[in-house]
Amino acid sequence: MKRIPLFAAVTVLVGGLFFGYRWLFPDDSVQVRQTLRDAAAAASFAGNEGDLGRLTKAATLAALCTESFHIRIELLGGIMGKLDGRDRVRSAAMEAATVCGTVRFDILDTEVKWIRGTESTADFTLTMEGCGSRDFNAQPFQARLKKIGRRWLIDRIESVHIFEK
Amino acid sequence: MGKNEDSSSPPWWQVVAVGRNPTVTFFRLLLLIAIVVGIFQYVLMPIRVTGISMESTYRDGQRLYLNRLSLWMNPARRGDILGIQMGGNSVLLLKRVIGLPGERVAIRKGQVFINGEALDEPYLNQPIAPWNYPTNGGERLLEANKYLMIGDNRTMPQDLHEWGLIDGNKLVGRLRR
Repeated sequence: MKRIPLFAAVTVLVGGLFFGYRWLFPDDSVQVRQTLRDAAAAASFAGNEGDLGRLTKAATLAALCTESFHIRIELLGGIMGKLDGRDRVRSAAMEAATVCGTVRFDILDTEVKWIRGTESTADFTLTMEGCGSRDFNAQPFQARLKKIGRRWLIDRIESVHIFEK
Repeated sequence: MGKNEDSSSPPWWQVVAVGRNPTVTFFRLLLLIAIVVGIFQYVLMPIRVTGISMESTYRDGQRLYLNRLSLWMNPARRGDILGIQMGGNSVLLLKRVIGLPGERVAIRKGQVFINGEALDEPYLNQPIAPWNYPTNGGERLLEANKYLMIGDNRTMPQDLHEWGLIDGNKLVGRLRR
């Protein structure tokens, strides 16, 4: 019976070390997911956010992208949107915050498809609420990320068609 | 003897809160949570309709349950309303099965043709837009495991409606037949 507390203590210690190690040194797929979540959070703005807050978030979003960042979104009705470069991301985020007021992005169902060296690809569903619309908008995307230094940065995002025609 | 039994029995508030035997109650509670989570995760998935693509069958904001077991037991049939995975299971599209694998499908001025015969669609109770598919005027043969799926709201132009062919492995569950 005396061994039970010892066993429990060892289990808790080993578990704590394991999760502590994972938290301190997350593997690449965890970092890729975190980068995408951080980007969604940085692209979301509250209506009452001040200019400094908006600027900080826009800068955070831009810092999560590579210099050669490219996004291509194809919406229903053949509406196409694209954006090139980190600087353009920053200014577009500021414009969106001003125009939309409140807008919230969330990233769901992220699946890291592959990681090879310093490149990886992930599929996810992006949802958007706010920006003057009562509708809940969702669209699947594929992102390509590059590892620069110790950080995974978003290099390319493209919308994915759900249906084949 | 009776006095001893009274003194050993737990107070009434404990009986009400956690039962006479808290350990048994705890395991019953765990079992109940596991059953409820299992049912709502793998059998009946609660969903909330957003958007107008399934009007007038389902309205924006309506709450429904998707039967996930149903597709395992019976393959998708024409007329079924199914949930389709967007990326994972967090956001689903609701569409009706129109064409099945192996069939030749076409849409001419909004009328669906299956293997050359006009399809009767009694659920379409609003005027339909003049959709055309394929745009070259021919027919599209659905390969194995491919389904043609369209929402019930066909009042809008075809470019503004999310529809088309989908792999069977993207189908999550059935709303009703």
